[in-house]
Amino acid sequence: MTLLQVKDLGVRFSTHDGMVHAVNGVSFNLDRGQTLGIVGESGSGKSQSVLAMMGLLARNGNTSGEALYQDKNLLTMPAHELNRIRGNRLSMIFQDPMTSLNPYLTIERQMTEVLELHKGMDRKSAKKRAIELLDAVRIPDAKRRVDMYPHEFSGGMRQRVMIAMALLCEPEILIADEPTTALDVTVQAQILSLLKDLQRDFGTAIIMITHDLGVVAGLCDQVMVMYGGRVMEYADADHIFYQPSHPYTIGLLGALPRMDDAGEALTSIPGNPPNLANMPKGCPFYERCGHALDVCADTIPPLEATGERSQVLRACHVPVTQLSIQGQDKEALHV
Amino acid sequence: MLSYTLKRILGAIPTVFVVITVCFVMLQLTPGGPFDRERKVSPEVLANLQAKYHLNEPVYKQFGFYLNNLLHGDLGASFRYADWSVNSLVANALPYSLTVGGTAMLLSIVIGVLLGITAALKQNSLVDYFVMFLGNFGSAVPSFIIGPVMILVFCIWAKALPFGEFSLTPAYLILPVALLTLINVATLGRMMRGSLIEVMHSNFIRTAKAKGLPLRVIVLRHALKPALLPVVTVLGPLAVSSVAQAVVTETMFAIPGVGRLLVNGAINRDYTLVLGLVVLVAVMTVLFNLIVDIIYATLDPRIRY
Repeated sequence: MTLLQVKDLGVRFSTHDGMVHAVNGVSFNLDRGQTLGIVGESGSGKSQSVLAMMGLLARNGNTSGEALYQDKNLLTMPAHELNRIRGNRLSMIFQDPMTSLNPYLTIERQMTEVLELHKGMDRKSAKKRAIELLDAVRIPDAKRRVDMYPHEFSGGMRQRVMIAMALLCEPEILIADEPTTALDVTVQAQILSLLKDLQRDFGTAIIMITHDLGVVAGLCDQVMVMYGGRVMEYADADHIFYQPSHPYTIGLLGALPRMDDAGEALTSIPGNPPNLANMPKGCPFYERCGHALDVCADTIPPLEATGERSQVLRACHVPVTQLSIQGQDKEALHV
Repeated sequence: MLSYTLKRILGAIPTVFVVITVCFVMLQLTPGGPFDRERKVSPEVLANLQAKYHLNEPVYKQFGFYLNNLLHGDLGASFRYADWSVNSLVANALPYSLTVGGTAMLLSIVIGVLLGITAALKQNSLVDYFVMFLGNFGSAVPSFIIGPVMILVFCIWAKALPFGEFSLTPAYLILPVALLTLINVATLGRMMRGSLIEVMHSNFIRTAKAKGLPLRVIVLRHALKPALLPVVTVLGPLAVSSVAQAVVTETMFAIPGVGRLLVNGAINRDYTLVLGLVVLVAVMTVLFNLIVDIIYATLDPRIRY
């Protein structure tokens, strides 16, 4: 069953340098209990897409398209109506746990206010529920800890608190915006396995935003690769990893260290992401693409299903067959 | 908290001592003495006067004498106002200054914070422009210009309020309180606006929005405390300047307050009076800053004393 249906989502910011198109034509469906990974480097528009759905864009931001939840468009909903959904059915964890909790309020206050607001609970039963969730995210001694302030917690613990807070109302959709980026590697693994367990227990659908393909591999069913505010490739996680069909995805995978490839130098994608205020006319990846054709410079490739694999959507003018030959050719890829 | 408060008060003693010493030395270094008049006093009278106030003794003895009196709560006798002790001069002036300065302080905290919040939440609205204008106006136009204009408009043209003398009645209080409030609101409103705007852009406010909380709760519960911190910081010095150093305001509105006493004392080389008022200001500064620190600790859980 489709929980969230995003159609042709666009995000624009009016700045002093003119209109910046941060996100263009993003579409996806999210089913119950499913995990969608949104991958891309900084400035690819992945965070802005979800912030738009949460109504958290900066003041100068504007949206177009639709994000349908229960047949209602989240993007055009008035604030008071959106406030009944966000934090309740749709909740979000942010990248930086050190600053995302209010340092002036106890964990108890920050958690109970969610339940008081959305579930109409009284403070006492809300606190009980908060302790249950802190237990669920494996905060030791939750009963005592719940009355502490955020500065008395470590970074990893704070992110767990954020997760517990996001899950208080058992949301149908959890958006995690780079939840492990600010944490060290061992804590990252803990947080990810925690999310997996919670998804199993609560049946939550997750939108996982990350630039870390390792996170995607461990967690996601579907993957959307974004670049320059556009979707480059959208497919099952397995397809993305084993049969990438877009030059940018191939480039990303090439930049990933592999267990079975010891000693090989990692390839980086040459160049930098394009300036969103001054986008090229054609494919945003044109300048950095090793496979670029003449047509790529002038026309934006549409996001289409490839011939034989209809569940794979890609935005590229270069035929898959040409890519896969070069993709398998290690020497060519590791220049 | 109690031990901290005691420690702070004990720690203030050396501060006050240094302030007294420096002030004492500076007064001694200024040319002229308390009994220099345009009409020369005869040498015999001068010698008698100096003997009476121990001015013929060496400076260190005078200083010791002064400190000894101070320890007994006696600020000494005024050199200028015969038959008046500094204690009674201050006791007469303080109620005026406390009423005018205290009322102005309370009003400006309430008005400044409310205006600042409104301006921050409705950026580029009329209120916002008003607060910004007031902020610039209050810091650019000195009170000795605003004050006379107020008197001209309200007392002379409109004849709505009395002026030229002073008593602790609403009619006389309105203008000086309004002037001090205006100047303080300029500072407080601007600070409150700036700090709330900054706080509203922080990550934890984004979290609060993501929870679906209404704006009212976000501001009152999540943003107000951190936004108040910088405002609270300036409250100490602002309170001291409103109560004890409102010289210009007190002069313009003929308020027989502490500020005016200080200026007259300095002009007359009334050593004990000036020293006494300096002690008062120093003690007030220490006290207000202590109160500010305690408020700070109650606002920010990360601060523990």
